[in-house]
Amino acid sequence: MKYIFHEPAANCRWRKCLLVMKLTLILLIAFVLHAGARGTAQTVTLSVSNISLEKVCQEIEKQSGYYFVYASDLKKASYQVSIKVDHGSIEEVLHMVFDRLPFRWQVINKVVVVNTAKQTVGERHDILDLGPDKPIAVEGVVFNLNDQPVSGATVIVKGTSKSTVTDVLGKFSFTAPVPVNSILIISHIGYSTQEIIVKNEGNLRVRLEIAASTLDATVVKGYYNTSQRLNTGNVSTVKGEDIQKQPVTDPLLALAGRVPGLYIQQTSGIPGSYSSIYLRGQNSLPGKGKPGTLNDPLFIVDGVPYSSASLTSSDIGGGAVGTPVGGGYVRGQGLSPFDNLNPADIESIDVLKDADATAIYGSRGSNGVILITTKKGKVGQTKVDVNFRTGGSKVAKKIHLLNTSQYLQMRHEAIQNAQAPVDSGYDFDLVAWDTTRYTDWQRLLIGNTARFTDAQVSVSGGNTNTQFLVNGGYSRQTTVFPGEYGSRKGSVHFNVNHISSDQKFRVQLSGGYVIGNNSVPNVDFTSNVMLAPNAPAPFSADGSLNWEFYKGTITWSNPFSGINIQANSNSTNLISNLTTSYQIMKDVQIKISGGYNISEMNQIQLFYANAVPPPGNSEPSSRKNNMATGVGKSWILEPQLDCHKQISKLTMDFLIGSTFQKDMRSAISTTSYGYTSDALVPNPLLASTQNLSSYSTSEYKYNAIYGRLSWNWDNKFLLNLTGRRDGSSRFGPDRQFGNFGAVGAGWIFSSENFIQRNLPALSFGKIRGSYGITGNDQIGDYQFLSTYSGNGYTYQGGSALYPTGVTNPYFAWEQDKKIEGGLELGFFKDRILLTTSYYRNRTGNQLIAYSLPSITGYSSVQANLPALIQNTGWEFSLTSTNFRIRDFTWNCSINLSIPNSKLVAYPGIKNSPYRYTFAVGRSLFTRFVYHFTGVDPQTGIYTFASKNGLGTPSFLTDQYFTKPIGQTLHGGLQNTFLYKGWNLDIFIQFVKQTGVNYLAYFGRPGAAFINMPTEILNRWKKPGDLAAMQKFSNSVDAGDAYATMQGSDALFCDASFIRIKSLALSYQISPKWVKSVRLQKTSFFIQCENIFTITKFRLLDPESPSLGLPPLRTITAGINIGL
Amino acid sequence: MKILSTKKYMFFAGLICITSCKKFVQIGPPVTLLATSSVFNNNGSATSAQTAIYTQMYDNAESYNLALQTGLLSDEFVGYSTTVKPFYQNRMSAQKTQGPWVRAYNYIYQANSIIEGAQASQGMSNIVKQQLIGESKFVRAFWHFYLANCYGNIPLVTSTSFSVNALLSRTPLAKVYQQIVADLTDSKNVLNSSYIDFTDTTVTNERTRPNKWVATAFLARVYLYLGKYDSAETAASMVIEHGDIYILEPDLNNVFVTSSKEAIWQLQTPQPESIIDTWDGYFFILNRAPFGSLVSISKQLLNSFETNDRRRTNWIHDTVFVGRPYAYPYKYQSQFLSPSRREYQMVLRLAEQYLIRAESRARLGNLTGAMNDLDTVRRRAGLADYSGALDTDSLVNAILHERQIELFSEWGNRWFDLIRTGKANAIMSIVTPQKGGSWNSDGHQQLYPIPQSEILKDYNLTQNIGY
Repeated sequence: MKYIFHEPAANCRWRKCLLVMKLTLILLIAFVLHAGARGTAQTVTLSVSNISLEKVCQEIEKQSGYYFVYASDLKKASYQVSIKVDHGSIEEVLHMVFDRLPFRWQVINKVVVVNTAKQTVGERHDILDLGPDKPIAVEGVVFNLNDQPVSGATVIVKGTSKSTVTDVLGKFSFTAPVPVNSILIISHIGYSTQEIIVKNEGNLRVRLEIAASTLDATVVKGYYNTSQRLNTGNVSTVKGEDIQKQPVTDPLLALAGRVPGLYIQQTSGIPGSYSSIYLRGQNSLPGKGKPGTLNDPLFIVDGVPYSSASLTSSDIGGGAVGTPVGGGYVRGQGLSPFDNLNPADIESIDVLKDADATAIYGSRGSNGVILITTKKGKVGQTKVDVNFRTGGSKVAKKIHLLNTSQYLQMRHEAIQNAQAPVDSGYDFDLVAWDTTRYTDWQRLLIGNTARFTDAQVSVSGGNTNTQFLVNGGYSRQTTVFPGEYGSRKGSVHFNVNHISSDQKFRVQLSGGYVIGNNSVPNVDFTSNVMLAPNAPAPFSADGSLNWEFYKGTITWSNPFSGINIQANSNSTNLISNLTTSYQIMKDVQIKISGGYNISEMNQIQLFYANAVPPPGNSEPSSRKNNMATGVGKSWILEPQLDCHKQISKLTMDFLIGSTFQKDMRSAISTTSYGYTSDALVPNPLLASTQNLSSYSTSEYKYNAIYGRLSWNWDNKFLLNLTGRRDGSSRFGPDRQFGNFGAVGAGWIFSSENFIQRNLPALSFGKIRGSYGITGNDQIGDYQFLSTYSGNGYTYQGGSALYPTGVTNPYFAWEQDKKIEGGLELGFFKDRILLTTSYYRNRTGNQLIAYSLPSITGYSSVQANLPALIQNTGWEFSLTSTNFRIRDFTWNCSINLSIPNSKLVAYPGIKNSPYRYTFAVGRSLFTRFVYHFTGVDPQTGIYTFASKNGLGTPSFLTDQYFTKPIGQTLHGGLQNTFLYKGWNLDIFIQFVKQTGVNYLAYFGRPGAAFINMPTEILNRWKKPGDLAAMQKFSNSVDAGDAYATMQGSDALFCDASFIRIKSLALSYQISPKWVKSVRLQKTSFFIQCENIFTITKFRLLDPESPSLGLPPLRTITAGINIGL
Repeated sequence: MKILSTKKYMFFAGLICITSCKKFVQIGPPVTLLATSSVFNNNGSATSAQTAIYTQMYDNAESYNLALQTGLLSDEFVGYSTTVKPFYQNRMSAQKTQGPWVRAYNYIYQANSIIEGAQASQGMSNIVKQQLIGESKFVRAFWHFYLANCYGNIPLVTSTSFSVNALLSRTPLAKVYQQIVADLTDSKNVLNSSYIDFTDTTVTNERTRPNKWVATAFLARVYLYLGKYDSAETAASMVIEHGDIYILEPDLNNVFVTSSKEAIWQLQTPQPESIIDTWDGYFFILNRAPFGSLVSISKQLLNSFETNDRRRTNWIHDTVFVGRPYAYPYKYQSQFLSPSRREYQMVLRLAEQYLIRAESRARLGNLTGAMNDLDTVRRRAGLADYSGALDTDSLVNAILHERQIELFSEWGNRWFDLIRTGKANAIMSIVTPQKGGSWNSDGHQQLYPIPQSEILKDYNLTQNIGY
């Protein structure tokens, strides 16, 4: 035995070492002697918990005959060891004991030398000069707790860029040798990340545990990824599987209630209709129907910006799904562009909220960013996955309406109270129609069952270098309306990933193509459910439309005449992205991402003769053919450079990139009329007149440089700087560029020793905060240019040009200053995760369509408004694994948002057009209305608060700013139960809000042939009555009071609701049985949407309160087979 | 090593920065839009800007809208639906009533834009510049006149600057009229005395662009309203004396057709045509019982016709729906486009000039001259010459009655006559109760309320009293 010691260096550390060495030598000699007196055993059996390291060493000595050499300070060390091993090899046992301790150790013959002076992690040198640790070839296998290999797990050599991925059998290997004592980080989504130290043994077995929390799952922040643990910003992720558990064809609908801070309102149950999106409130003054600043977040699908504006022609409209306003850049009515995405293709949706997360998107990040990532292939055997589901939808709730006798009573009462006679030339419901007739128009018009069918087939697989996925999908949804309406879509999605063997070159190509066909009625049939209950039969005995003639005049507008208007939209949507990257240096990667999106919509609207009532239907003009084509194209090119550098405990990431983007939109529409027969209508060339009714094109160009610099000190202190310099073609010369940026910081205090010691239950704790400025350029193109446009006419043979508006070339970027603080806590090994955030967004220099008096010629001009709008809010989310006992698991997650908006300042509001719309210090959703004071018991007429006591309130002095309309609290609660093959998901959405009640959507009771909800029966009848509704009367004073009531606070109501939004139950057939029939997995499932709602709201649905088709209740059943 | 790698980072970072450029985000207008400066760079596109106003006046059914609303307000029409009842029962409200305010100021903006554009233009020929400035001043005067008659004191707008205009307050009526007269006088002086086509120089038969006589005729009306009877007489005479151009169509059925010799100014039906010819014809002709904005002629008007007045039979049609009789204006006789009869939207016609001169002469004491003019109009309608008392008051009353009959359902003549002659209170306090409304003795219902939304947007605007 001969040891050569290092010469002591002029360094006190080494001097201390020397002392240790000496001690070691002495002890060594002593133990060698001692060992000789004992027998030796090759295995060790130990079962101890929390005993001192010294005692463990003594026990190992006893059993194995090995001897330990260590300094006396090991005895002093307070390390407690728990170990349970049955006949383990000495090597194994030593690993188990020391791997978690900061000591370097070495076995030399039968002597275990422990160096307490030098700690292991991150160090290279040994006390004993055995030469430097020679790199060794490392390979291994990764498996899970069920001994199943884990494929696709990433294995990284810590502190380097060396990495590999496990193959189908869970095996991995490094082509180049790895230094001994390197640390390998093995990670896979859904499993806890493990770190292991490379010892002399190059063959490793790694067992991954299922992650108790989502802390380490990937969080996509656009140009870079992180994990929730290390994120300095606020990003919420919704997984594809949660989206796919809901029977919806628009993926946005599946987000409702799942993301704190995000409120999605489904406005209609018609397939393809749009939904409203509010991410942390309204940042600019609401436009009130004018084309103004858009409040939509930026949508990005696989790196390609995705326009949220409908392509539905604003010229011919979208029928029951509405007509977009504002020339195509304002998202609103019309067919939703999100209907052109296939929910089954989505891997995850990340919602970026605060400045830290959104500032890298600069001018486009003001309203938040929603990143949609599609599915990718995974390493493994080629898999075929078939998913099929089918079911139906119905209107969930009926309105209680008057029956025929109640209706007729109302009509007569209204006429009598006005002291007028029944007018035989007008009151057809009383004089011409059968007064004993009763039709349940709700059943007839919206009572059908809509069918839902969805089929998806995907093939995926690949090896460690190349993975692929192809998915084909088809879905079909019909409506609850009479007639053959509905939407169908077919889609193909693919993704190919390749990584070169040296891990340096990566390429990824993804693409999705969706073809959709949508046919909706020209008018939402729901608007006709208020027809008089004794209204005529829609069809005559011979099957033709019944116009119920009375003395030669038609007496009603037959709702079924709409079936003589055929409206069809065919849309296609291609999104593709190609990303390549190359690691040019050890820590440096260059990347280039290019994307292309083209969406096209072709609409055709055919009016047959019977679409108009007689006698108009005999005119040649009654037959019409409208056609429209809208195209949106966008390309984006983003070169990027990434650096990743680790210096000691400091990890630095640096990123710089640039964006070039160009969007083009064009629309054209034609109208043709003058057909001699219905059969000719589809062909415009057979019409006597064909007109090009509109043509428009627009272009948007965008250019930016962005960057990110982040520091991570020992996974404790995090700092993230992001910024962007933007140029947008939507601004005038010298105002095109703007600078935006944010700083985010985090402190993972749970990594601190004093926390670990004092709060053992706290497994994770982070405080984070961010501050930054983002902007908004979501206005129309060319607004700064003073322009003239053709109005489609010629006069005296020359074309006509009109000015497009008043122009202001000086408007500039809107600025949104966002500040956020967050506290993230994990308890009991992260089984419970609680996130609390508070945000404050202040938007100034608002870019809006500023209201102008019409004497200027126009009603608005694009301008910056000095008003400062503040949106604040608290957001909470809690995920918890309540139970995990044997086969039973109960997970639960809840999120809650408490938003608040306020107009903080508006210098000069007193003289502005907004002085009676908004008030400083109040919410943006306040209303300026009369105060309703009930029905006068003497006159039976509505009364209102009036300062002069005259009864009729005055417009300016008697109106006041009310409490805000809208949500004051919203959120969702998801419960997941797993038991053997069973999986039950229940998702409950809850919203506390003030809404507008039914009085706003019905006419004046008794004044027209319109049915009413039974609530109105509680009306004033005679003097002295205390009633909620004023008397039925067609008189002028009753009409005026009714009109005032429509502008009063009588309309506001509590429209809060709690809804079982979705429910999914699935059963996976026993894997053993499935394998015996050569399948990989098979499961059956039931998925339901909008099951049950608790609300005080008295109309069809509190979510879409207007008298349109409400969100439907859907129940589907299906099967999923893996081949 | 470290320095080297830093340099490399800088190099790549620099590469990315360089690739961003300012030029990339500069775009020109799309093919569908023309920069304002380029519009006024040549005669053709500048003329397009001018004629666009006429297509809009046609397309927005200005003639029909004014006739409908003022006809309901006065004693010409019966309204049936809740849409038109507020006019019919003289209960206009600031919140709901949609008068000509918004669109009129839009036309004025366009006219101002052309005046400014043409004045600054380098590329337009002087003759076209002069013509378009003249037409635009005419349009500006025309709409200020209607605004003043509907609303009283109104903001006078003579520039396109939105920052100035957004804060305007109401201009006293006298000053508004001063500008109207000035604009019309300018127009009269610079406009071509012939009707011209799109080239602005070539003479055409169609009377679809304002010329010298259009401006003169309108000036005659303005002077009449202002009580400057001598000026009114002079202006009207200048038009009437051009017998080579203007004659009263002997056949009442030909007054409103495209080739009408009585027309002083007509709005051409813009191309491409829709299914209709004029909006007046489309909406006034009843093919079913009136509802919505459809109306019928009132008893007051029907009863005002003398027996054997050909205008009763040629310009009014009677029909029956659900057992009830309705009469409707039939000056425009085609509801849908028909190749056999083409009509243009009449704005100014010769008969009015005769009546303007008749009234001016009567008020100036030239009773014979007045009677001659009155009889010219009466003879065409198949009526005997005026045989009433020979004093100014009787004659003026007879002329006003003739105006009621001759000019019914055209551009608000009846309503504005009632107001300018001070007869509105006396007549409407009888008529309004018959229509189911009530007439306030303060007479505030003579004026439209200024739209509430406009007062909210311009805090310098004040509301008309009574609203």
